[in-house]
Amino acid sequence: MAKCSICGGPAVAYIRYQRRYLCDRHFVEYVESKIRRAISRYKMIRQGYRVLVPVSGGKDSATVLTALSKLSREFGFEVVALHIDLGIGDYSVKSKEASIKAANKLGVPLIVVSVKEITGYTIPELARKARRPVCSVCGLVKRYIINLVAVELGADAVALGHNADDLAVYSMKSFITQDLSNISKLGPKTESIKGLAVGRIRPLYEVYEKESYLYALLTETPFLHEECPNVDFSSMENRLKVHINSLEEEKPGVKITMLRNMAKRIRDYPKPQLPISRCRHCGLLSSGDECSFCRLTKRITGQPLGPRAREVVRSLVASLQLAPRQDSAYKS
Amino acid sequence: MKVKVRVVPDGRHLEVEAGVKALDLLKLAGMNSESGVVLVNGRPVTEDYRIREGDEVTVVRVLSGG
Ligand SMILES: [Zn+2]
Ligand SMILES: [Zn+2]
Repeated sequence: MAKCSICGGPAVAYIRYQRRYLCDRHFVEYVESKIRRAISRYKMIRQGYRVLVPVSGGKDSATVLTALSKLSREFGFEVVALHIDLGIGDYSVKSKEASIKAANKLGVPLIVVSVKEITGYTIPELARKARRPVCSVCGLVKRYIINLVAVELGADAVALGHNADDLAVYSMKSFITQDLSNISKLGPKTESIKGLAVGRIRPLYEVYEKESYLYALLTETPFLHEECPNVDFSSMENRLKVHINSLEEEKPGVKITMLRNMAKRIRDYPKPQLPISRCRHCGLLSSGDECSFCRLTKRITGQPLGPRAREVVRSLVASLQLAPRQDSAYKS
Repeated sequence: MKVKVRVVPDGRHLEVEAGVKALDLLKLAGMNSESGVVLVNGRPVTEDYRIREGDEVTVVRVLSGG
């Protein structure tokens, strides 16, 4: 059996692009040091920040939550978790359970927002009513709720679970379709827009998908192995993942090189030309006078439900009884 | 001797000869060193680990859809 290159203990992983074997403990330290480096290198988090971590119940957000809750003491920031109950049958029930277990284990305050409670419908029901693909409605609703909770919390950053493999294939797909302005959004961090939107950070920017899985497993963070039943494995993203990983096996380190270079060149990509304005119903970020969440829910229920979502989230945030953050620049 | 292998999350089962390397097992399951992990008795093993008789073996596809 292979031995850890640092301490000689039994190895659990081989880091191909560094030609190192690592044991349980040194592997966990290695992933944390990558995350710590990314946080500093890309200036993701400053002392005193309140960071919102959306947790889906899957391995990547489990890894972000565990790593950030450990690093929060060292860097001096605060972590709050958010789980969105999408109402996708048994999958959502189990995802919620895993998220609650993980947050409890780490002692991180958790907000659970139910899509059905806000809109009266689950995600599959909303998609059917809107006659739109379920993943596009799901993405829209999740983005809206995450930003809403972040604004109501006075959070300084939202920490997303995208790993290096995800970001490599998103940017490859954007290159193939020549949607170059989309690449400008795939960097390690995006900026906040005062009162309208909270900036996003990607602590797993340089963490491979396999490393993220192993970290969640070895730190014993509860997570769900199951996939959402709506995942389409023949999508371009998922096909590209298979290809980039056979390239990685032949040329170890190719993913990390690509992402580091992308971070350096991110400003050279065109920014999306969408106008930035405020939704007349809910007051959050939109590209016209109505945000996409208010537009969608108005079409389905006859009422824009952004204001109701804000009310629900406000009372959930209040019930957490966190220290007030009057000083935050992002509170509207 | 044959060893039973569970493939997650597909729920498939494979049977392999004892002595096969973890990396070859990943390939048999349609994965590679980046897209999958072999667990023996619930613990990850490195690619050069040889499967033994009596091992409880799981191959996990770590690539999530998105
Ligand atoms: Zn070690
Ligand atoms: Zn709105």
